[in-house]
Amino acid sequence: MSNHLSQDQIAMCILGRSTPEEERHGRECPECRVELARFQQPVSTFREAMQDWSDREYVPRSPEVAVFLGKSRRPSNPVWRWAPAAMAVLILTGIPIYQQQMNLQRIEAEEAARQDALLMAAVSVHLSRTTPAPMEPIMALIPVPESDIQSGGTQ
Amino acid sequence: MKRPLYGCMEPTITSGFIATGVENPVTEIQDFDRVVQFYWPRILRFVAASVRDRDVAETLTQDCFWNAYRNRKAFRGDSSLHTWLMRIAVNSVRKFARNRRLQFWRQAERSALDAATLGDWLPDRRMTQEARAVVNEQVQEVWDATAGLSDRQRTVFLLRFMEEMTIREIAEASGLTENAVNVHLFRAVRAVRSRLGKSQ
Repeated sequence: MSNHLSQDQIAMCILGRSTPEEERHGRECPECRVELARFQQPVSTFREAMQDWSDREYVPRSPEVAVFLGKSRRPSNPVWRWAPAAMAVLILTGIPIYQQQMNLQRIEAEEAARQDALLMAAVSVHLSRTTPAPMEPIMALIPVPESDIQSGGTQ
Repeated sequence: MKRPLYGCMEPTITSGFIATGVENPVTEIQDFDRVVQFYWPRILRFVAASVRDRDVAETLTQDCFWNAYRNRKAFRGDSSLHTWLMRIAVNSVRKFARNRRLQFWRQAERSALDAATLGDWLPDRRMTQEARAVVNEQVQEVWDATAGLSDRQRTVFLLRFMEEMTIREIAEASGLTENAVNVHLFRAVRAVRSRLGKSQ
């Protein structure tokens, strides 16, 4: 069994959450010290490099700050950036479809009304008959009395 | 050489900034301008190390200060101004990462930060070419190692080791519990260590 710090113990040492014994071992054991430095050295260099880089980057001055604070922002979410375009496409494709649907409904309604009118006319014709339709051929065979012809069929 | 992060004089605008009674927009902007001057580099480097793109980092940093200015009345001073701004930055980076996942076809970053040259910025100009090469290599290693972390691990790692924030501050800035921060940090350190080991 190794007397050195395990990988997890080294990670805990780096995070400052080790026990006093582990901390002492990390300080005194040359191998564990190297292990700790293998992380700490590059990370420290990285921090300094990033701090130095950011310190040399351009920082907006007062007039620019006032300008960008005064500006209204476009939504940074690209999904929202596409929303107006999507809405326009929906409107452009939706309106003709809607109009077509409305026309179809109107035509269907007119057709239904026409059918209703025809049916009503047929019913009216049927009701206005003096004899039932099946009897009409037979009635045609019966001679009409002269008095009926002279009086126009009225009594 | 380790530089104290909070060594330089922090702007004393917080009282005026917090005060909801400040009605003069000119004064407010002047006040806020000092916040921008002081915190811009910190926010920029965190965002840049997170998104790895200089142009995106500048835009997100500007967005961050714009959001801070718009929501300045919401800042009650419960946390430090630095932590509050960092929380806005963390949210901006998170939102950006979520959107970038939707834009998966955008593989190439147009103004990707070149970690190989970051070491060139180190102030010690007396460094030999060899020493500078070693420094650049170390910076590149950490840069590459953090690229492989999950978004949360990278965030807590950068806040701890680049911004030198405490666990409590990281928890406030990231919206995580202190326990969650510790867990993510532990995993991040293990992952970075294993990657640093591979490259040597």
